[in-house]
Amino acid sequence: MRTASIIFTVFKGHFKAWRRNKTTLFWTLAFPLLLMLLFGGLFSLQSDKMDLYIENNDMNQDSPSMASLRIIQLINQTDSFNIEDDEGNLEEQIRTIVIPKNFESRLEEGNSSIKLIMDESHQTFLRTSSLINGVINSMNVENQGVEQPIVLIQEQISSNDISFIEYFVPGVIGIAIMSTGIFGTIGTNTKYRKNGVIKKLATTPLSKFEWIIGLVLYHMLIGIISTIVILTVAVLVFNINIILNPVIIILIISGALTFPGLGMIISTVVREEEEADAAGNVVTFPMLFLSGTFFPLETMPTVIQAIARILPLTYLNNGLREIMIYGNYQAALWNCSIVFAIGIVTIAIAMKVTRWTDL
Amino acid sequence: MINNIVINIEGLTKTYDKSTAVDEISFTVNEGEVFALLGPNGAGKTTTVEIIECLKTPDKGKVEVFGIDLKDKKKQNDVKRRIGVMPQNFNAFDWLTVKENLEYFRELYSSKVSTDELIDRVGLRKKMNSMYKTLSGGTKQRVGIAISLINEPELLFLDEPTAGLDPQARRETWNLIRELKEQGKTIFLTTHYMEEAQELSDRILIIIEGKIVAGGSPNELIENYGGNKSVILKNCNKKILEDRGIKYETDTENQIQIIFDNNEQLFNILSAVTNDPNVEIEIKKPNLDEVFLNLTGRRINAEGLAK
Ligand SMILES: Nc1ncnc2c1ncn2[C@@H]1O[C@H](COP(=O)(O)OP(=O)(O)OP(=O)(O)O)[C@@H](O)[C@H]1O
Ligand SMILES: [Mg+2]
Repeated sequence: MRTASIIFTVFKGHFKAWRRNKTTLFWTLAFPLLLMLLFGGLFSLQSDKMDLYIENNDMNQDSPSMASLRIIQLINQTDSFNIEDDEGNLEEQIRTIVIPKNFESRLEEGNSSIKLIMDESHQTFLRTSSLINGVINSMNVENQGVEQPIVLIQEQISSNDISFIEYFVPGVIGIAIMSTGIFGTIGTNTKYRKNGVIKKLATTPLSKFEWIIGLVLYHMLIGIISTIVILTVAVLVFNINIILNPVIIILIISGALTFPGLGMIISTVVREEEEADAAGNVVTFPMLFLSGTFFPLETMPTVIQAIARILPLTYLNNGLREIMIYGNYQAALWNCSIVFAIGIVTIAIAMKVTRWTDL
Repeated sequence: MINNIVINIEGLTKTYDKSTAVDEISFTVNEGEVFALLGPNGAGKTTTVEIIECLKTPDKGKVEVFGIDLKDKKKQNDVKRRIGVMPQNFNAFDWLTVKENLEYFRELYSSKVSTDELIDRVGLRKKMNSMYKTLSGGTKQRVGIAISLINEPELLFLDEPTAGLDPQARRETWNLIRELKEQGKTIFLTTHYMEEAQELSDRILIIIEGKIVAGGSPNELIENYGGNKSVILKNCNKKILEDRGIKYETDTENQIQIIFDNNEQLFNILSAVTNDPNVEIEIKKPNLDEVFLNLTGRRINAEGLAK
């Protein structure tokens, strides 16, 4: 009971200081938001054109029919698609147009069709189908006189494709939890050790365990606050779908064990305040780029994938992404248990190596 | 009167890497006294108090506080609850106000002390809602003393409580320490200010390079190590002195110094010059500066450096 109230005192003290200090507020809230808005904005500008695979089956002795070429030309003129050759792997293609055999001859008979293979629930489905319908309409206008126009047939596939921003938002939360955890604890620990606050605390009944637990609880709370702020802005600005689930909280808690724990371990080595930021950068920088925050790890060289597998941020990012975006409960739990295990080990080491007396 | 011993140190030694900071020292501190550890920079004062405050582990020797041996780590918490500590270069939480800092520490002790009363007692009412980081050095030290009183300690440690303060702020702190002594607290002071030790302490231990070189009340120290008292005469006709057989030294052209041991000798000197209205008379009593000079051949300057 007494321990609980002491821990609460420590927790409250950190939280008050955080609220009042503009620098810490910037790094925990404004910085991740800026990062998200900047990259999210850049990528949404660039991704104006959508990839479209075309499978043209209407061939006259090895060369495509006139009508099929015409429809491809019209699709091209919409200026909305990057037309790619069909590679035959439907699962990996977000949107595929199939032009059937006899498309041209059927057109003359008036009962031709083309097929769009796409996930109905994909965020670009409406835009895609209306553009293709537009193309079919112009084709129908050109072919007035035929009795029945071309129709669009939709075939459902389920796709895992998500937009950059959907991919990125969980990573932003991961970065926020990591950088606040690591920089925050290295900063406070070296500052308080240098200016004598730790020494003063060590003369009171407060133990180093209570101090560390108070610090971890504080990081859990600001982790949750950052997450809420980032998600709110992400939903408002980018209009993305987020799946909310209690696993998110467990992931944040695990992160609040891991990264402050790492920070504490590092701050036993860092003696001077000026070295604190440098030391923090050495640890956070590689994680920032090698933990699949910006791009999926599968697109990276195998060496980097191997490194990523030992970085805790990888599992935090994956866990957050699996639950928030894909709603994949099992994969999220799996990643979550890895971060949690790393967190327990790190914090145990931190408790062991943090010096309270004989500074 | 039998003194209750609050701190008992025997053969205490502490070595950092290769250098010995505290070397086989022994002393006791009695209940209700102001005890000062006086010495220049690097003498080992902080090392000694921090061992007693359970902040450092000694290499050798016995340390008992309230009769509790500090070797027993589990008992250290009992000691911590009964002592108040203001470490050297004290700092509290920058982003909490004075009052919040006091409340923070009060909660750590689950203490029932009224922070408002304490604020008035150390004269911090006007500053109680200011952020700690915005305070002046003197006010910060004052907050330090207030925090060290939050658990109503029987024994108070003040490590260089007036270092870097202006004379006005120093006097105020001294008055506060005197009040605390009157309330019956035992106060363990470390300082390199001779005047501070002399003004406040009942007993002083002079420590140099980790060793105790002398100890006693300020008067005993001056008596034993201060050297002689002397009369300084200006514009004095040397012949009058020679007539009476008084031995003198000529300090400067116009100034004479006569060393004396007792009041009889002093009276003899003064009666010799009593009829000459031009003579300026000054009686010089040694103070701790002389004690220190005689013990070490050096003086301590304001920064605490022995020269
Ligand atoms: N943590 C430490 N590691 C290594 N050496 C130390 C440490 N703390 C103190 N020392 C050395 O031990 C000696 C005694 O230091 P201490 O701080 O006890 O002196 P002090 O009398 O309090 O001096 P000051 O008036 O400067 O506060 C000094 O030479 C100092 O350099
Ligand atoms: Mg000192």
